[in-house]
Amino acid sequence: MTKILDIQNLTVKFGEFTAVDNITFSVEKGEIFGFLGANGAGKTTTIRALCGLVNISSGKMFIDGKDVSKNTKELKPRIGYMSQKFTLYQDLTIKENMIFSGALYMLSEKESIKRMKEVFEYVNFKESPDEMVKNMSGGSKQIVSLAASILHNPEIIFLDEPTAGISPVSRKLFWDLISKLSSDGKTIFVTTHYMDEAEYCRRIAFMQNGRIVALDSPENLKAASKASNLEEAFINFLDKK
Amino acid sequence: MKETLKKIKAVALKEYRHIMRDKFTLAMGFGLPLLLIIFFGFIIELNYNKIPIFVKDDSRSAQSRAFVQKLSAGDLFIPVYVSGDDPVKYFERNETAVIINIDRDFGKSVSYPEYGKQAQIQIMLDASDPSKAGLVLSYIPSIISNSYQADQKYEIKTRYLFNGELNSKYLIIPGLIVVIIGLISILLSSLAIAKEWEKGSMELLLSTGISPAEIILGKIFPYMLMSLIGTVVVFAAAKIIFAVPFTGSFIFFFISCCVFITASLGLGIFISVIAKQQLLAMLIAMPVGLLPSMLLSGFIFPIENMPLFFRGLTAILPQRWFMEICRGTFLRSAGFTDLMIPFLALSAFCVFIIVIASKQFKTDLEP
Repeated sequence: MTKILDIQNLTVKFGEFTAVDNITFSVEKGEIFGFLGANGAGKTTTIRALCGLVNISSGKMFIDGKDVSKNTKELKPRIGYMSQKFTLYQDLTIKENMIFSGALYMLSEKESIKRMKEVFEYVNFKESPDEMVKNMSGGSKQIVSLAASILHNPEIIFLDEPTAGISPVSRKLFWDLISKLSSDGKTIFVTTHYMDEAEYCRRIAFMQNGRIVALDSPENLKAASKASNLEEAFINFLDKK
Repeated sequence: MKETLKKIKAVALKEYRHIMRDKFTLAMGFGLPLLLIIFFGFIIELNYNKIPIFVKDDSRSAQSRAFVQKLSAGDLFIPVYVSGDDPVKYFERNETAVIINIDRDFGKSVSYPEYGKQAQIQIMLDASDPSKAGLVLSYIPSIISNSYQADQKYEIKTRYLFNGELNSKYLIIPGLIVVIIGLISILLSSLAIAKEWEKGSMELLLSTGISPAEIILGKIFPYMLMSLIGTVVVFAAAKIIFAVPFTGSFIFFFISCCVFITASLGLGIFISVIAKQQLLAMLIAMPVGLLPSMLLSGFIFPIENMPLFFRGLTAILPQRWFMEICRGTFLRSAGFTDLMIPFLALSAFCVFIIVIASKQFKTDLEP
């Protein structure tokens, strides 16, 4: 398998505070890669660094062999990013949001709507595209958010806590969509709080205080820490430090 | 280039939709200009009229009454007869700014020059308001000389150009247009970027790789449209309510309006870029939009009379340059050749502020 993401000794400091502390890892093409850790562990900062949204202090990041710091403009269209915070416009309709997001990636109105319908059909999303975003439920908002971030058919999709605060049914649907994207050859980089979700990932990194404390497949992590489930494994790894 | 245009268009269309759905912004764009021009237009009054003049007539003659009669011709003065020995008390009570004492022998002296005494009147002025005192002092002697020196060898005739009635409204209203358009443009755009930061949507924008200049230009267009409609509202009010004549070139005025609006929107966006919070941006935009145009644009206080430092400072204010264009086109039929310097200065500011705003634009999400 080819490395699509390659991160070497990445460090991000905000003033005195070190948000990401010298981490090195790589992600293979087509895999679902999970980032687990408490709030403030550095998950979001790592994703933002990869998307060119924060200035890094040291280290190197490569996407498909290209240095992120030097090729930001070229790489951004190949990335889909769904932020932890809801970033769509509440006073626009679903369709208007999609057309806007699509246009920023050079999609025509028609293409954006076509892509939107494809995604919605797949997850059996029933809201009317003319519905105002502010009137939707949390789960629907997350689906629309994800749809907006994959309209331009990116190769790598960064999802920052995409399922926080939505119902179990919506979460299931959401993960079905993620699995489908992965089987289409997309690389998924996802952070989450939910241990059951982490089981969907091919490999997981546990993060603590800006460092990666463990990185392997869920099975291996459980075996290595002699735990019966991921939650226990997570706790065991944190304890060791 | 094609990509840039498409992104600018996308931002402009999105912003237009925000505006059309936001009643507050709509009210600010259209209602505020109308409200402001009506309020300020009626309140700001630089003309003096009906100044009370207290007259202590010791002569009590037909000649002295004729003199007072002459003072009251026209709208400027209202003579009031008073008596008593201590006229200064009227000043102290602020009942009048002018007191005229007519000498006991006034009547006799005027009618019989051979009597050998010059006719005398004394004018006392409360000079705590120098501009009013100066006005009175320049008018009264001319009334006297017109009345009593029929045998003078030549006469001076004064003709006022461009504003024959010396109506200060003609000066104030075009100036107000500058103040109002500048203010609403700055206020409207000051929220534009800060809103994206506050709502988190800036993260989405930046992750797509759109550039600051594309965001800024995209945001300027819809607000430009709004400010232009606001301008039409104010312009119509100036013509209909205050009957201010417009003598210059409409096309030149319209183009200058567009440039001035872009400059003001650019300034508002610069504030928005720096502040990153809507409330803070609004708090900065208010004084920045209002104070320079009131104090340093030449709206009320002449720039020529300012100390050198402030005169220099006005050169970087778009309001000062548009003030010249506005008054020039309204009253003096001035065109591009007459107003080239203000127009070029305004255009230069426009480019400058948009470049600075783009440079200051943070493209990372560091806290």
